[in-house]
Amino acid sequence: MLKNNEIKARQIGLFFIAFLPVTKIFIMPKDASNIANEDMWISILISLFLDAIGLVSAILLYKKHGTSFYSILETNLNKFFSKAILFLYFVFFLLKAFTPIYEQKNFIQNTLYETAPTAFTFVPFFILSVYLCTRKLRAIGRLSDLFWIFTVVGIILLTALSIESADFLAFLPIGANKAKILKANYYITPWFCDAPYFLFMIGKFRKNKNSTKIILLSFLASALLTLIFALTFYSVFTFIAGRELFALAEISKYSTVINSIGRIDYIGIFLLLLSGTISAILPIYFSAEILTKILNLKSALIPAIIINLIFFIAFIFFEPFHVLIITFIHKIASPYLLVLANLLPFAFLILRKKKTGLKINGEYNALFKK
Amino acid sequence: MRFLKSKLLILAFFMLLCYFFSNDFGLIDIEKTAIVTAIGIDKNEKTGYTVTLQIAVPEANGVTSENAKAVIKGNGKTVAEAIQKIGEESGWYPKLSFCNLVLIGSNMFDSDIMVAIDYFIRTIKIQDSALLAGVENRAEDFMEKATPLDNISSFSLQKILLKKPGMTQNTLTTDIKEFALGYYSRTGSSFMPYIKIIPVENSEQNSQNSKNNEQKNGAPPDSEKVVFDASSTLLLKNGKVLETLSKEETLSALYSKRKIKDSTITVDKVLLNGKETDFLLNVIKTDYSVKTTIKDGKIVLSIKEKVFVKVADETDKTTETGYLPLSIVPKEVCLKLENDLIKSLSKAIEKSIKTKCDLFSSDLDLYRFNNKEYKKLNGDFFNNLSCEIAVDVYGQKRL
Repeated sequence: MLKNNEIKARQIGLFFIAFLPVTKIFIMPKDASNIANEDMWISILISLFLDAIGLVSAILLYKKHGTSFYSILETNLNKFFSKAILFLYFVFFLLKAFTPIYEQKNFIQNTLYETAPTAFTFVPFFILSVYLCTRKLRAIGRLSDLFWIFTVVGIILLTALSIESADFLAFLPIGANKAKILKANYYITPWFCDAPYFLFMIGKFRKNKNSTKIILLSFLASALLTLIFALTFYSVFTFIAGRELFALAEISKYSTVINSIGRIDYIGIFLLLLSGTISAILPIYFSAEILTKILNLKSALIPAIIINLIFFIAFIFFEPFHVLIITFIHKIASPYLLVLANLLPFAFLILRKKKTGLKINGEYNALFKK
Repeated sequence: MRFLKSKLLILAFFMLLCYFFSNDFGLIDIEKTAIVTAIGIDKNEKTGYTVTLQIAVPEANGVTSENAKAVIKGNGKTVAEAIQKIGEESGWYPKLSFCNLVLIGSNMFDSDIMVAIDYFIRTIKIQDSALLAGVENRAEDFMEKATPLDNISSFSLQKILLKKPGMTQNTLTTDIKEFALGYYSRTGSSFMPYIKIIPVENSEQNSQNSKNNEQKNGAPPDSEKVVFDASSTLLLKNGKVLETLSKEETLSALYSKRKIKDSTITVDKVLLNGKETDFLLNVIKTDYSVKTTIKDGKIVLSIKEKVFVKVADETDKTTETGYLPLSIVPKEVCLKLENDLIKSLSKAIEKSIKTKCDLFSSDLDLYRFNNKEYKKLNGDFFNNLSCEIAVDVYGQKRL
């Protein structure tokens, strides 16, 4: 029997497939194309590679300490420092949350609504978010079990419909925009940096002999889905890829199938939007969990309400400044996200394993039990 | 049971979420929606642009009748503003998702037309796959016209531009996306069909028959009905129209850009048995290859066309026993067609070089497959360009 705050290794794998690619298919391919043109895929590959480093570091960290990230911090650093690091991750997840929520909102508003909807149209999203934030990790695991198929079917359907109009030679010559590859990579960083999701899951999943294999292979599958979608997007739009704001809605509509039987691509779009909704909530979920730990609260309800309220108000009052906020996240906060997602888990590997007096093999530390 | 109930609840929740986010709760009333079938854009000296929307008016009645149409105009400094004004002034919310045709008036040809088209790339309210064409005179005039068979001119134009296999394919069609791809390419080259109006000569009886229909659906009288010709092509550089390809040049360029099936082509004045005979050939299929290479420091554009034909009709007996069997094509006809296609393709390439409009994407070919040499050119692409054309026409022969 799984405890409420436990997740299976299989579910972590499905979590990667269900929720990691789906936030990277709205605007990321467009922005990467806008900067690096035909070399955009190299920038994406670098970001995926950096994420893989973060993930492997987190796996090694777990293998070394065998307990949750909270326990590792608490046993190796003093209370102040461990809370300070948790606070850094709290800010990390807040910064990471803005772009996917804004993208989802903007996409739905522009593609599904003929007339501008009111801000309150998106209230159900925040209600769902508050509800999810109060659930234990097991709920996320169950959602992964359900949503991975939505993401896979959605991406395969849209890609298959787009292949007819794709020009895969558009990526030639490889490396023509060398100077811009890293620039694009820097800008798209906030869409990646996914390793901390796993970092906050370590010590909370049932380990078996195949766990590492399952987690790494699933990450590879999720990276492949991201890359396939981005490659198809650029090969469909080539020179105008940097101008196509809604990759998801545009990519497959040139297919002859769609011309003859109508917009069946919307089936795929809806599936991805459903996965995207949960995916956009995830950074809020983890930030609420961290805030609960920092404030030593028993329930995540208050932090969840506070964080969701902040985002709801931000989307009502700061809507005219969204470009400024997104530019800040992508141009100024990128190094911060990169360090916390990939460098810090790697740096934590130098922490020595300490005995806490608590049972730690396979179990997370009782101190941080929800 | 409890487990099933919670599963059903989750399912119902997601169904509700689907409806909610798809805006199915907020559908616009069809009676208040203007379904735009075509957009015409003209330059307007005073306000910037005049946008004319051709609107199909859906009417619920028991009688099968021709579609009625409405034409609404709006002026604005930008195309988006003009469209917005139409909504503001008429109260009808223009629904652009069904618009499949964008017409550009000839008074826009001497300026960068992408300034007007760019809005359609950025917005998702209109499909990027909508056809794009330039028209003689003003685009708004086209919106008012009707053909003898179609009251809504855009329906007729779409049939002319988008021909299915089995119909004569002679237009070099383009859509908003393809046009923008060319415009934003390194050479800024694009093309679009040029549409001309051809007045219809009507018999008196036809005119009488149509009078009853005129008052019913607001169609113009038969004397004003027209047909369209879209067989020539406009060449554009950086969004400005610089040259026009004739009907023959368009056809030869079409055979080097797209694979054609089940079309027709005419071959005139073939000298057979001392007589000049005209032929209509069925084009079974065509094939092509376009390659750009560098030979001795010169860029060489090599175009090879293969055209498989059979005789559809001829103006005179070509054998002693009578007309030719349908599939047999005399060698002279093949040779004449090869020469005609080479001649017109050469002219098309000449115009393309003169205007520096990269009609065959040779610049892109070189950039992709010969990048080092491409960089050495320093943008001096068209001055170094020469071409090699080979056209092979295949027809069945007698044993």
